[in-house]
Amino acid sequence: MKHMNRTSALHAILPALLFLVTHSVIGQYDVNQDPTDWKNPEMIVHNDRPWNIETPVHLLDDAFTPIDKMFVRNNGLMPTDLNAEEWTLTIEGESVPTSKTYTLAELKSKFKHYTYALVLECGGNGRSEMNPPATGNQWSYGAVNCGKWTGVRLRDVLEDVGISDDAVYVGYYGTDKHLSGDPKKVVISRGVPISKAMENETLIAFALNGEDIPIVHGYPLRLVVGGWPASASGKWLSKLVVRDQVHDGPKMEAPSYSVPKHPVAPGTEVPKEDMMIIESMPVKSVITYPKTGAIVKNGQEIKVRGHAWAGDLKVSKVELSTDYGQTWEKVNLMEPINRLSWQDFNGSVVLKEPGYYEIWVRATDENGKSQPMVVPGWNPRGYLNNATHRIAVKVE
Amino acid sequence: MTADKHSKNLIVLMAMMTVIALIIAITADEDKPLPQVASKAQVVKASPLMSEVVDGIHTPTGLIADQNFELVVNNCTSCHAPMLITQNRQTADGWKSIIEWMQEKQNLWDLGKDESAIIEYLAKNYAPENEGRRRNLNLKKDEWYVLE
Repeated sequence: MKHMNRTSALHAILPALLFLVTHSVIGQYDVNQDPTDWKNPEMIVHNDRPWNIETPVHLLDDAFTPIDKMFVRNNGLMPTDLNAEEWTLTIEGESVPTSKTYTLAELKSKFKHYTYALVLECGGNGRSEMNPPATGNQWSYGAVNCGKWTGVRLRDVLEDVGISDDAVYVGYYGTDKHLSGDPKKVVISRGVPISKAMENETLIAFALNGEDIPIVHGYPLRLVVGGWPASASGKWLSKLVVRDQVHDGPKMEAPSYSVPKHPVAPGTEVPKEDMMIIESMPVKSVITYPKTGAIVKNGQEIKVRGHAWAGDLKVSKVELSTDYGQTWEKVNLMEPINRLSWQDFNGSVVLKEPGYYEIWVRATDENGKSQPMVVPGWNPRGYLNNATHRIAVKVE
Repeated sequence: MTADKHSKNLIVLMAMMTVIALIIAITADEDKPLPQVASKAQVVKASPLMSEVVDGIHTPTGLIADQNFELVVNNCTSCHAPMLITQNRQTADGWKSIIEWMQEKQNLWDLGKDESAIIEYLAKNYAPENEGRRRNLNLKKDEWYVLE
């Protein structure tokens, strides 16, 4: 009798289940779909609730990062109620005299479209090297990408809304869900100062690499701010607030995405008031070819290539070293396709003695700042590690 | 009201039906104990989780099956994946401050008398390793390959 009840109950829910499964598909990516189903199989999952997925550096070899090789940093659970046809973006806040709401279709039809290649790097990229260890996802080098984002300029939209002169900051709100299940709790709401918001390259984006943004990356609308911690690029964007003060949404406050105002010894406890919000990311570079672990013949030419970027700045020089930084050799460095894109470099190395080597890469920004060879400025949450990337090579 | 709104309501209705039917389906089978919902629930001595331990690792979570790991499974992994624990290394003070941060910002409940046991477990099994300013690259044997 008990089992009869159970079976009949299951029969009753089957049609409902089927309906839910078939209707939860949006675009080409399913809301409930495990992103590892379509991400490159070599991607490293640091966390699956929320999703945090890293790209092994050799997978970043493309000029612009394909979506299946893009890292994922989610703070909460992905929204399940996404509907692009009904999607709206509301602009409000202290510095907006009359708030305004646009449908996605209105945004697309009313404003000029722009496409930019933009570097998005997690503020905590490189955290795994911090000593003493910093809490959070233990990113190695691969929480970075450079994709081609298409959208409308935030500046154009703000000008259409009309904002007052006292505007200080723009903050975002998305529709992701808090891990605790509390529907009233905002997962993350960060932003950027008005000056960064008004840059040409700051987009309200609806496409990535020429297609709809995948859900895991912010479908159907995302604020995209190149060169700053990727947490400033709010996913599932539904509201922007133009504030007359520094935005104070969740994860704006120290220690989140903040570093000490003055350098501290490793392991120091830093009071909130002595922390400052991270803005532009520091200069950095990665060797994407060859993959670490290459075994070569004595005297064989090793072609070396990768990318370099420097937050808001341009990269002016990239060098390689095969002797632990005693000597450096300059390599070819390409111009960026647009401001805030990464820049390709390529060169070659010939090793003339058998043994174990490391190839190190170091970029220098237009202000003359380059990358440290040891882990720089320890900070409580382990941000901004831009130490030189290294690959191991053996000569037989 | 649009047709879209209707289908949305239909989805909500069906989701509710599904939940109710699932509850009926589960509770109808009295032979099976109710699943342990990960919560503040106290762990009984003969923990059912022990049956899922292989080579000292609790396989569903990947946590080291040391004393009191059940408290960690029940209190921590209801909100976030256990991977957020297993990839981190902290001292007792470090783990305590993470717990306090989660209580302040992320809706973690008061752990009561379990807190000290949880911190002890974490500090023992997920302690910092002593490293210099940079680790050796330490490639594993199978990471080496011939580059033509």
